Amino acid sequence: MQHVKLIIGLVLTVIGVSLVFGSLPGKTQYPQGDQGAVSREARVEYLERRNYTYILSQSFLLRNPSNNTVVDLVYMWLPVNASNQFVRLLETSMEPLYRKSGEDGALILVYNLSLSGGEATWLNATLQVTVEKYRLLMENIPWLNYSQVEKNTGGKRYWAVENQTYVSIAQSIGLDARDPVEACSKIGKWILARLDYQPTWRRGAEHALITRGGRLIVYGDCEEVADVFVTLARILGVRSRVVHGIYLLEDKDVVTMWIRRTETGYDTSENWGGHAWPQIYVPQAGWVDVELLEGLTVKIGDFSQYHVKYGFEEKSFLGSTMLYCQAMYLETDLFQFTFRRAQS
Amino acid sequence: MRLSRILLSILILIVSTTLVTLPARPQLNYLIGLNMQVEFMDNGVARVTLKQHPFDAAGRSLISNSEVVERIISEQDSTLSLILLFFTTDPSKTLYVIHSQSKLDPDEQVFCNTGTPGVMEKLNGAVTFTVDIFLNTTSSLMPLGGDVYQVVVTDYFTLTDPRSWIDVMDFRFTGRVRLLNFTTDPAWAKPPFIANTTRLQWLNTNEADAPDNYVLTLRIPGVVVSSAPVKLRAEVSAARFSNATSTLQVSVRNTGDNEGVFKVVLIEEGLEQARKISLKPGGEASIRFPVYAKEGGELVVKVFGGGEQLDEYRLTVTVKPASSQPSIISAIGLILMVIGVFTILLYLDEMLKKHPPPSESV
Repeated sequence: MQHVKLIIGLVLTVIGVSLVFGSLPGKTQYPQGDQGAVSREARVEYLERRNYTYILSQSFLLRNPSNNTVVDLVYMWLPVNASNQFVRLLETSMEPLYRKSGEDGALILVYNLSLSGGEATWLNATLQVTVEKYRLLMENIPWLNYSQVEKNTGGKRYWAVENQTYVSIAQSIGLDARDPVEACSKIGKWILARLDYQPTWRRGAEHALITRGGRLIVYGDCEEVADVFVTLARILGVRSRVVHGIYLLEDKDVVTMWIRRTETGYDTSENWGGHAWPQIYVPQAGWVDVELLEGLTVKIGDFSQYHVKYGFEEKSFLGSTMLYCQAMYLETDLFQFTFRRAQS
Repeated sequence: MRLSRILLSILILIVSTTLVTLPARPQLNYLIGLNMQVEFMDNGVARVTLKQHPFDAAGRSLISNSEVVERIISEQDSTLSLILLFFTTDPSKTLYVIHSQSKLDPDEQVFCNTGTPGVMEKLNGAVTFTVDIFLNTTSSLMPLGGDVYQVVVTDYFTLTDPRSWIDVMDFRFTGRVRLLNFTTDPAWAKPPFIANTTRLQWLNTNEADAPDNYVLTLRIPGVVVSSAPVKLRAEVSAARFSNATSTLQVSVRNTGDNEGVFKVVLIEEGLEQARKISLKPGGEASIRFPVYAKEGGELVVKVFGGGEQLDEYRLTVTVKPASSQPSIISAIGLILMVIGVFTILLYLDEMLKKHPPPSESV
C-alpha cells in the first residue's frame, strides 16, 4: 500500500515535468512576426478587368430661335479619354473649329455654325468608347502625403469641408479608420444608412444634409450623394472628386436615351441616365471609382461597364459645367445618345 | 458675356440627375454683357468694378426691365464670389471691402457683342458693383523679388462655362504701380486693344478670342505678405505601435487657444502619410496609420497647424517577444510536479519512520 504513494508521486512528477517542459517554446516566438499574419506591404490587385466597347452616336438638334441669321460657337462635350476609359472620335458631321479642354480635363469640340432665322440642324459625333469593368482589391493602403493633403483636400462650392457639422460627422465616422479605403467604406455606409433618394436640383453638400425626426438625412440624388461623400472624404484627408457622366440603365445591345426641350422645360426618356459619382485617389492605383447607388451598397473599386464618364470636377471652385452640347445664341432642342455594344 | 444663372442651373440639372421627370419652370432667359475694370493701387489693393448689362437673344437691351435688373442686383453675393474667383482659388480666405453696392447706373455704358459676329455694341446703362480686393490674401499674387509681383487674373466665366467670357477687361495702373510686362493664354487669344504703361484693355467679341488668363508683371510698392492670422498649438499626447495590426495610433491634443485643423504626418523610411484632424482648444483625438517599417525602423510623427510645425515625436518599431507568463498547461504541470514530489517525500518520510537507521552504540 505504501508503494502506491511512491508510484502516484512518481507518475504525477513525470506528468508534471513533461507538461512544464513540453509547453515551453523551443526558441523565442513573436506574436506577430514580420512573416506573420500582418502584411507590411500595401496591396493593390485587380481581381477582374474587362473592357466593354460601345459605338456612341451623340446627336444634337440645334435651332436658331431668332428671325435673323446667327453665327454662333457651338460646344460639344465628348466622353473623357481618361480614368479607365478610352475614347476615339470616329466621325463628326462638321469639322470642328478647334478643341478645348475644360479646367478638369473635359474634352470639348467647338464648332462654328451659321443658321438662318428659324433654321434647325443636327450636329452629330460618333465615338468609340471603351469602358473598363473592374474589381480592385486594396489592402493596407497608406494615407496621402502632406503636400497632397494640403493641396487636394480643400473645400469647393459644393463641398463644405469647413462646415462644423460635416467635420464632426467625418471625425466620428472615420478618424479611427486605419487606412483611407476603410475610411471611405465607412463614409459610404454612413450615407446609405441615411439616404432619402429624391431627384433634385444640385444643392451641394451644405444643403444635402437635413434633420428629420431628430435624425440626419442625406437628401437628394446622385449629385448630393457624391457631394456628401467627397466632403466627408476630404475632411478626413482623402483626395476625392466627382465624375459626371451617363449610366446605362438597360443592359441591351442598343440603348438610346434623350432629353427634349419643351415649352415649359425639359422632358427625358424613361431610361435617361445622367449620373454623378465620386472617385478617390489612391496613388498605387490612380483614380478609383466609388459607386453607392448601384444596388445601394458601397462599391469602392468595384465598377460596372454601365458607366460612361464625361467629365471630372475636382479643381474648379464652382464646379465644372458639363452640358453635352450648348451654344450661346442657338437653342439645343434635342439631345440624343445611342450606345451600340461593339464587343465585350 | 454670360447666360443668366437661371438658365444655367436648369441645364446643369438635366445633365446630372438620374431618372428625373423635370418640373416645369418658367425661364427667365437673358444674357449679360460684362465689363470689368481693375485698378491696381499702392499696397496691393485691386479695385474691381463690374458693369453688367442684360439683353435678350435678339440683342435687345433689358436694362429697362426692372425684374431682370432687380434680379441682377439681388445676386450681389454671387457676383462678389465670381469677382473674387478672378483672383483666388479660395474666396473664403480673401480679404475685401465692398466699395460700392450693386446699383443701376443709367449713365454708365457697357460694350458687348450681342450676336453680330465681330461687332462690339455700346449699351447704355449698367448695374455696377465695386469691391476692393487685398491681393496679398489671394492666390493670384506671386512675389518675384523686391516689390515685383506676378498677378494672374483668371476669366472665371470662361473657365467654368466655355460659352461665357468677359466682353471688356480693362486694367489700370495707378499711384506708384508700374506695369513691367504682360502675357495671356491661350496662345490664340487676341492682343489688347489698348496697351500702354498705365492701361491695358481687351475688347473680346467672342469666347475664342478672349484670354482665359491675364498674366501681369507689376511693380507694386508697399505690399505686406501676411503670415498665418491664427496661431495654433498642438502636441502629440501619445503614440502607440501595435505590432499585431502593424498600426500606429497617435493621439493629438490642441494645447492652444484656437480651434483649428491640424495635419498629422507620419514619416518612415521612404514613405510619408498625413491625416487631417480638427480640434477645439483642449480637445484631443486619436488617429491611426498603417505602418510599413520593420523592426528597428524609426517612426517620426509631426504635427502641423497654421502653416508651421508644432510638435515632433519619434519612436522605434519594436516587436515584443511572446508573453513570459506561464501557460495554463505549464501551470498544471507545475502543480502536478509539486504534488508528485510531495507524495514521494511523504512516502520516504514514512519509510524512514518504519525503518529507522541503526543507532550507534557507545
